[in-house]
Amino acid sequence: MQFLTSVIVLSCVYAILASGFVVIYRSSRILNFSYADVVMLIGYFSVTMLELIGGPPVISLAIVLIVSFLFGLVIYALLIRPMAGQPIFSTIILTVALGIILQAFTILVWRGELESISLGWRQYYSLFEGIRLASTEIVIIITTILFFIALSGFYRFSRIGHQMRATAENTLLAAQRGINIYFVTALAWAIGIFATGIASILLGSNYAVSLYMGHVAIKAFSVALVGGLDSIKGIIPAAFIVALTELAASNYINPRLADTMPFIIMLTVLLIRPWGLWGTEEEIERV
Amino acid sequence: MKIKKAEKSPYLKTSFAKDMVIEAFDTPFRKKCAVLGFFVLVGFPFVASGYFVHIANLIAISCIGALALNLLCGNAGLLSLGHAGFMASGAFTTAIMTLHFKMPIWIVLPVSGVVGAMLGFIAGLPSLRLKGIYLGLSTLAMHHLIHYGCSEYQFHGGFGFGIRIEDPRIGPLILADDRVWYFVLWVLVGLTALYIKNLLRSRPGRAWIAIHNRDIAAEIIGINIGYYKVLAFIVSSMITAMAGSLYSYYTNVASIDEYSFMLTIYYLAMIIVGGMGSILGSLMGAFLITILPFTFLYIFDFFEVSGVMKNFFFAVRSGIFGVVIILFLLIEPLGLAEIWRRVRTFFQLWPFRFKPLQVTKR
Repeated sequence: MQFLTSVIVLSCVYAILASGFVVIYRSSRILNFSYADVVMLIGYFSVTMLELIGGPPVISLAIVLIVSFLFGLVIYALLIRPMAGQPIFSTIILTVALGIILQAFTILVWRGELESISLGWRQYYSLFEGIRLASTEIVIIITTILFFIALSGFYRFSRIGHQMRATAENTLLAAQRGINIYFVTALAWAIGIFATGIASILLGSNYAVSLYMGHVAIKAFSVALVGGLDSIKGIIPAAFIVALTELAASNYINPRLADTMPFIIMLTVLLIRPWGLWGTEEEIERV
Repeated sequence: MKIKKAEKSPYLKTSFAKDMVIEAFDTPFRKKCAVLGFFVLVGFPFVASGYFVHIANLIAISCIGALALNLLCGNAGLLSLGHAGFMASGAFTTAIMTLHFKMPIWIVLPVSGVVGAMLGFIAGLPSLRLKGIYLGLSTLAMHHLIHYGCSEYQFHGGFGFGIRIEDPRIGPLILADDRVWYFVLWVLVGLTALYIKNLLRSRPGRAWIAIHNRDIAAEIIGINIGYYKVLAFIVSSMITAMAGSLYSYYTNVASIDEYSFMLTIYYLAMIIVGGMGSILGSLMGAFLITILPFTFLYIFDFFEVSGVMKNFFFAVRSGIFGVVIILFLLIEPLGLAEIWRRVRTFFQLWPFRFKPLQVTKR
C-alpha cells in the first residue's frame, strides 16, 4: 500500500510536468526541451523569493507563479515568434539552447547549492493500514487535482479556451475565423511555464531544490509521449503507468534502472503506437 | 582581324565529369587554397607548442564527429539527439576490447565502428515510422539506454572514474605523443571528409537529399525511403562510434560522465554554427566550437577575471554555447558556410553587386 501511495504522488508530479509540455505542444507544435532547466530556475527563484519577502509562503509563491506566467510570454515573444516558418529541427535546437543558457544562469547566480522550499509546516500523518503520508505529499495530490479541474474547465468553458482548442486543431482555419493565433500561442506558452512553476514548487517542497531536479522533468517527456503529445486527458493515466513502472523497477529490479525505465516505455510506445495511447492518430505524419 | 578565341572560364562546366569534381579542387582559387591549407596543416605541429597541438587534436576528433552528425541531420534531414550515446558506445567498445581481449587498435577501431553501426541500425528502425520531433525523442531514448548500459558496466566493473586505456601501438609505433596523434587524426579527418563527399555525390547522397526535401516525392521517383533512412543512421553512427573510440584512445580513458546529453548539444552547435548539410561547414563549426572555451579561458586570464565566473567556468562555457546557437539560429540559420559563400561571391563579383546578365563577348 505504501508503494501505491508513492506511485500516486510521483504520478501527480509527472502529470503536472507533462501538462506543461502538452499545453505548449498543442498550440505551437514545439516540444519544449528547456523544460528541465526552467523547473530548476523557478525552484531556485522561489527559494530566493521566500527569503526576501518572508511572511506566509502563499504570497511569495503566488508572486513566483505570476512571474513564471510572464516568463512564458517573454520566451514566446523573444525566441519562438521569430522562429515562425523555420524547420521544426531549428526550433527544437533553439529550446535546447535556451535550456543550457538558463542552466548556466542558475549555476552562476545560485552556485548550485542544495536548498528546499518550506511551505511553513511539514509533518507526517499515519493513515489506515500503516500508510504514512507527508503533508507536502497531500499538498501535491490536492494541487494536481485542482490544477487539472481548472485546466479542463478552462479549455471547455471559457471563450479563450475554445479558441485555444480551435487553434490546436487547425491553425489555418482558426486564423481565418478571426482568432488571434499569436495571442493564443503566447497564452499557451504562458500557461505551460505556469504549470512548470507549480510543478517546480511542489518538487522543491517535497524533495529538494538542486541542480538535479530537472532530471525528473526530462522523464516527464515520456509521460507526455505515452499519453499522446496533444492529449490532455491522456496525461493522468500515462503518468500513472510511467510512475508505476519506474518505482517497480527501482524496488524490485535495480535502483539505477529507474531513471532509464521511462525511456524504455517511451521507445516501446513510439514503436507500437507513435501517436501515444490517447493521442489523435492523424496528428503524426506517417512516413 | 583574327578573333581571339575566348579562354574558357574555369567556372564553366561543360561535361558531367567536370561537374563531379570535388568542390575543394574545383577552381584555380580553391586549388590554391587547398594546397595552402594542406601545407599549413602539415607545418602546424612543427611550429606550435604542445598545448596548441593538443587543441588541434581535439578539433580533429570533433571534426569527425561533426561530419557524421551533419550527414545525418543536415543531409538526410533526420533529427538525432543520440550522438553522445553513439560516441559512448565506441569508447566503451574500445575499453572492453583493450581491457579484456588486449586487442590492437587496427582491430578495435573497425569493431567499434561495427558496434556503432548495429546500434545505429536499431536507432534507425523507428525512423521507418516516425518523423521530426518523434524521431528526435526516440533517438534521445536510445541515448539514455546506451548511457545506462555503459554506466552499469563502468560501476559494476569497479571503474569509478573511468576505464584506463593503454596507448595504442601499430607495429613498432606507439601512439603516445601528441604530434604523432596529430598526423594520424588529421589524416583520418581527411579520409572521413572524402568518404562522406563521395557518398553525397553518389546515389545514396542524392537519395538522402531527396528524402530531406520531400520524402513523399522521393518515394514516388523510386527511392526506397526506409532503406536509405536506416542507411544514413548506420553510416553516421559507425563514424561517430569510431570518433568516440579515437577520443578514448587519445585521452587514455573511457568515462561515461563525458558522454552526457551536453556532448550532443555541443555537436549540434557545431553543425548549426558551421552550416547544415555542408562538409566545409562541419569542419568550420567543429573548429569554432572547440576553440571557443579555450579562447574564453584565455580572455578570462588576460583580464584576470576571478570569482564566480572563473570557478563555474563550465557553466559560463555552456551558457556561451547556448547564446551562440540562438544567435546563429535567429540571424544566420545557414551557418558559417553561408557567410563564407557570401563573402566569396562578394569578392568574385567585385566591383559589381550582382552577376551581370549574360554578357556576350565579341
